[in-house]
Amino acid sequence: MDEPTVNEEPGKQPRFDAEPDEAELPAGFDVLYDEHFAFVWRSLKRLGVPVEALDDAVQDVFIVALRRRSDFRGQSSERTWLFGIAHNVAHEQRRKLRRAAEHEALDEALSAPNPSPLEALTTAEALRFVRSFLETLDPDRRAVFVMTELEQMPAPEVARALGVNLNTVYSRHRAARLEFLRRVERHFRRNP
Amino acid sequence: MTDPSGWAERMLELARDADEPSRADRTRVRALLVARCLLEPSLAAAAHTGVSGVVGSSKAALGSKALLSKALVAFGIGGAAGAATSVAVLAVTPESPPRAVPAISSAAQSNHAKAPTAPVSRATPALSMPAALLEGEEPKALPTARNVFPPAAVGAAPSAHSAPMPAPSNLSIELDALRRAQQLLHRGDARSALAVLGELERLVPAGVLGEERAATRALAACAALGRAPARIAEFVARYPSSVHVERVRAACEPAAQGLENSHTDPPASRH
Repeated sequence: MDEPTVNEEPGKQPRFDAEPDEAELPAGFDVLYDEHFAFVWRSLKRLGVPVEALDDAVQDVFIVALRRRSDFRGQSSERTWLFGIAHNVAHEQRRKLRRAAEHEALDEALSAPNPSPLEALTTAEALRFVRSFLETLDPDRRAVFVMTELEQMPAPEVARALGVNLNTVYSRHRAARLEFLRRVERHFRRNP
Repeated sequence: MTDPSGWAERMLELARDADEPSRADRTRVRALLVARCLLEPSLAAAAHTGVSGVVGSSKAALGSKALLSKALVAFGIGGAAGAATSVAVLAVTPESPPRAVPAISSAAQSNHAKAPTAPVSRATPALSMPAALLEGEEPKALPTARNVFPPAAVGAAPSAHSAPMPAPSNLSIELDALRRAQQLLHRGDARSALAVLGELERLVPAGVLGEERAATRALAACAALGRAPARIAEFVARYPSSVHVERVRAACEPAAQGLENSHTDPPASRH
């Protein structure tokens, strides 16, 4: 295989192997895509882009990145820069595709009876809960929570990605984190 | 009860490792991006001038020359240097007969045989298609799937004489055809581009790149006829929020306005 594997973070296994019939992208763009596709995909999903709109949203992020390449001054990492773009794209997508059905599913997931004991907690259950929780957050807190708690990015990077003050990031994170703990407690209250 | 923060941490830990895209996701979106780049030439220029800077100097080891060559191949503008390293993507070469309908070659060949490939195109009867055919029907005088594709690509049992070759995915076939159609359009051979798209329609009637196919078809029809209001209307009706709508309009409307006053949006509405 002639395509390099991707290893975004030290100690992590490459997310992808080379594909047997990879389509070709322009120079540089190819590398950017390979390195950050998974991150962009995850971020958009966590920022509330519905699965059926994910393909378009991921494309939009990379196309915007390509067109606005001159905006990138190397003051932050590529990931940070791409997250800022993804945040805007997700905002647009949500505006277009907001659906009442998702809110119904949300309430159901957050109040599901008989949660698994901690040891038996499955990824699917955790994922459902976290996704549902994210839906309850306003977009600004949601973006901060996704970056800090799920992507584990440092606060200054989050501030740069979102173009906000560092204290704003801390404050949004604190509020979102508190709310998450409250939801978790309520969810598991009847499971001694 | 367990400490809620323990639950919270465990949940976040599990959620962190989820949401990964599959390989199929990655390949599909990549193909969509390639198709979008093919349809938007400005992106090719952007790619050549900027993104390598974004990616950073650490990637220089990958070889900017090789990457540039790859990009030129992808966009069919490689000239002699590109041709030297090109694969079947560039089966439409300057040496191709002017009225040949270029074949949609196997993507397996495209991507594995990293050496110049002789054009697979075949001379066909001249494509003197009537306007109505170009507007609404599939071109008829085309190579068949059997003589364009290797057996593996069209689902036939491989013959005893054919070398084993992995069947390309439908996505690869679609991309290959779109590349060819775009190259033909750039060369001014819109009718052959339509022929390629017609052949693709027969082989992969329901593909992933439907929107890009429809856009390319509309562009080709406009280029062939000088106007194609039916194509614009059809495309916009089917893909109203497509990023290609403006391009299709821009390519089709000026000619239409020159030939037919009854059509359509005022120029001020275009950006």
